[in-house]
Amino acid sequence: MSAALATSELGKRYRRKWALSGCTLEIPAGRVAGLVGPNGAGKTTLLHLAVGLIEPSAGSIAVLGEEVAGTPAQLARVGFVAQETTLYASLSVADHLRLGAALNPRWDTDLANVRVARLGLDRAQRAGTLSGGQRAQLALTLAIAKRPDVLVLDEPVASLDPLARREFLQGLMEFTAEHTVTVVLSSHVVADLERVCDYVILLAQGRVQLRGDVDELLSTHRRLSGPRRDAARLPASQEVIEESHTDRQSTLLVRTEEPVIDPSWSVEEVSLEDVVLAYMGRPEVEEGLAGINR
Amino acid sequence: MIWVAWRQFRTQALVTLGLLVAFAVLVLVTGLHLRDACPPITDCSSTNVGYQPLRELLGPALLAIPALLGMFWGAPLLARELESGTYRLAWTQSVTRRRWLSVRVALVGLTALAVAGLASWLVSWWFAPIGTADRFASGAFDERGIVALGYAGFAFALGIAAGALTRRTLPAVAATLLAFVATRIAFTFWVRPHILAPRHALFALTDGKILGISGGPFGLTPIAGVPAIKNAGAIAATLVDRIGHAPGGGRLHGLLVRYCPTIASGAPQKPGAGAAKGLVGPPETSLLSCGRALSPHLQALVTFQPASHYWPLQALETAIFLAVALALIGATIWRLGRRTPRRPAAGAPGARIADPSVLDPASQVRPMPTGAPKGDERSDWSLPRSTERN
Amino acid sequence: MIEFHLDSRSGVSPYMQVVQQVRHALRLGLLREGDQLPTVKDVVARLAINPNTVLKAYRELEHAGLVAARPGVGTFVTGSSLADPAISAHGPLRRELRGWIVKARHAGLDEESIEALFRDAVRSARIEGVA
Repeated sequence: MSAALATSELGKRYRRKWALSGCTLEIPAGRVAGLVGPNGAGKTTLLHLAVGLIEPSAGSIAVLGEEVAGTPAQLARVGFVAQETTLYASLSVADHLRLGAALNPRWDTDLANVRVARLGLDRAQRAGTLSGGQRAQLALTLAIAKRPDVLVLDEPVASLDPLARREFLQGLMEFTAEHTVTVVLSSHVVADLERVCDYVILLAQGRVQLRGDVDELLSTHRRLSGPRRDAARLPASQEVIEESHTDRQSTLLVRTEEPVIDPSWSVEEVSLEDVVLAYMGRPEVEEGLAGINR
Repeated sequence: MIWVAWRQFRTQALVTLGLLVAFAVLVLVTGLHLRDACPPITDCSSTNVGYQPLRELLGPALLAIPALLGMFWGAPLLARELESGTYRLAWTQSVTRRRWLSVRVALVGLTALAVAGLASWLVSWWFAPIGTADRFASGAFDERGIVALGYAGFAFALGIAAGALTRRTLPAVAATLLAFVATRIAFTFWVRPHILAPRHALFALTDGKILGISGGPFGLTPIAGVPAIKNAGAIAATLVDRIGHAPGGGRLHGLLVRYCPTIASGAPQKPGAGAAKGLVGPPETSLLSCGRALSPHLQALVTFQPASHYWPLQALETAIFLAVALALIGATIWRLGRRTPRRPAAGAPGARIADPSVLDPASQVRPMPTGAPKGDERSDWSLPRSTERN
Repeated sequence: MIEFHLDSRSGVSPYMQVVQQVRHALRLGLLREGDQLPTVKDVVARLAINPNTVLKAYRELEHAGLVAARPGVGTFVTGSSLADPAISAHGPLRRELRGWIVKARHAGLDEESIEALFRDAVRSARIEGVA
């Protein structure tokens, strides 16, 4: 099964600054992958590279096995919802659907119409007067009705109120339940992604800091707390990701394959947000140093 | 794609259509009335036929139309898409960027040409009974005939290119206007005179209205004035002797002293009515006799564009502007598309090892190709820099 | 037809919550033999969770013999009730538990402490059996 998205030492430079560098990752097909990271981390750059809006300065990027080249066939297989869901303010909902139908050979008119009707959108209303949530839903409809194999969303819910956010994710998940599609969505709020994503990529300072299956990450990371001790004394199979100490107590976030048997530790599960934050806080690991290479 | 191009153009097109209809009605109604009012035999050039404001405004209006088309149809086409971010929707459908732009440019550009052509035809038709003093003169030449088509195409192309470069609507509009005006002025003065070589003809000094007197370092000397040749564009005139050489100022003064002594010694007076352009000097009668006296020795060599050059010049200037327009548009469209995708070098030595914090079991540690960064990277101009925050 | 809800603060993973809610519904008799579970699409459209989560939960329930998937139709409750073999072990376990509770009381724990201790022990036992 070829990866839905694969990059190799991908980099993008603007004038002097590298917005993205040394980015190597593979998103397996069929996943809902979350791309997280702070603002300025390079998430939008990576997504724009994936949909062909910009070209790499270094390395390569391939979608569904083909290098991103901007050919009509490839463009038809990738759907995109841009940040701040850009729509034509003076075009109506119906106009947007017609635009989608005119520019996409795989357009599914029924899917689009059913969705618009279910959302209660007024077909004659101009996109500029729709609410934020409605705009996001319309943009999602346009991307979905194109019947893509990969759906890319750049912070689609960032500026939405909680209800609109929930409705958007419901619509998105319903689509993934019914169609074989790989979803890549970015957010700087991890909590949004935790229920929706089964694969996560952490991008910080233009580099990939962490990637993997959500289930696997959650089952291999634990928070240990107990009497103060030196983190270096832990067994080698437990990699310390984050540590903090008071004079009496140590709290560590570790990655481990095996059960923690030391009874002096109190062991807790962690949330995806905890894991991501811990990795975000790490200083950059130098190439080739000890770590778990698998 | 055609529907999309039309839908985005619709409002501008309808507004312009309304304006164009109003303009056409104005021109047609007044033009027909003008023709009725003109005496059938003489031409209408006498000013008491009326419609003076229109006479003065229609020409400049036609000059403005190509600039306006460039500024309001050409500049916003690409600039607004880039500025508002809607390109992120347009370019992630299933059409390539080049095709997207080509169709839009073709639709709007051809319409602009049609608008300019129609307006130009209307104005030329309106002025037909009035005639033009010198239709090769820089004002009149631009305001009649078919050159407006070339100007419109060029202004439109400038707008598209400016939009691509500035990525913002207002700067693109301003840049289009400036570039258009500058190019037109430069072209009129530096290129147009050389498009078709003018002809030369010798006029005898007895032809009247061609001789003038001017003062200079050598005293009073005769000079030639540029005559008005019907339907042709006279450009310059010099006095030459019988074998075609232009005598120096000293010799001319000597000739004047010898053959027109009264003038040579007299004080400068007001020129008579009908004297050739740009001359001061004695009244017509004494000039005529001076001319007769000088004509065995001097004649006027006049440089002019003959009537037969008018339409070729119009066509050539239009063609030049349209060719430049096509080149500009072609370059912009080409630049919009993707450059060739880069293939990474496989197995390059000294490759980086995978980031140790990587946990994905599917990845293996293998030497990653180090793609060398492109030297001298410009910022990717298809994406406005300021929106790149993540 | 039952409806699922998700408690994002409970510390229990979403798929586990779905499993638990199905079991709970079976125990209470809200789900009977032959009833259809909500389709993956419906669950996901309501809860906005990953479809694989629901699939995993349904697979586990199927593995436990509580439901059966009929391809193209849906997932249905099977005949085997939640009267699982564990029931027969309830008697002796309950007696042991009472003995332990009496000991805890003698040690001075109140009801709240007893419950907390018990819950913590159950969780630790689950967590420490890692990966």
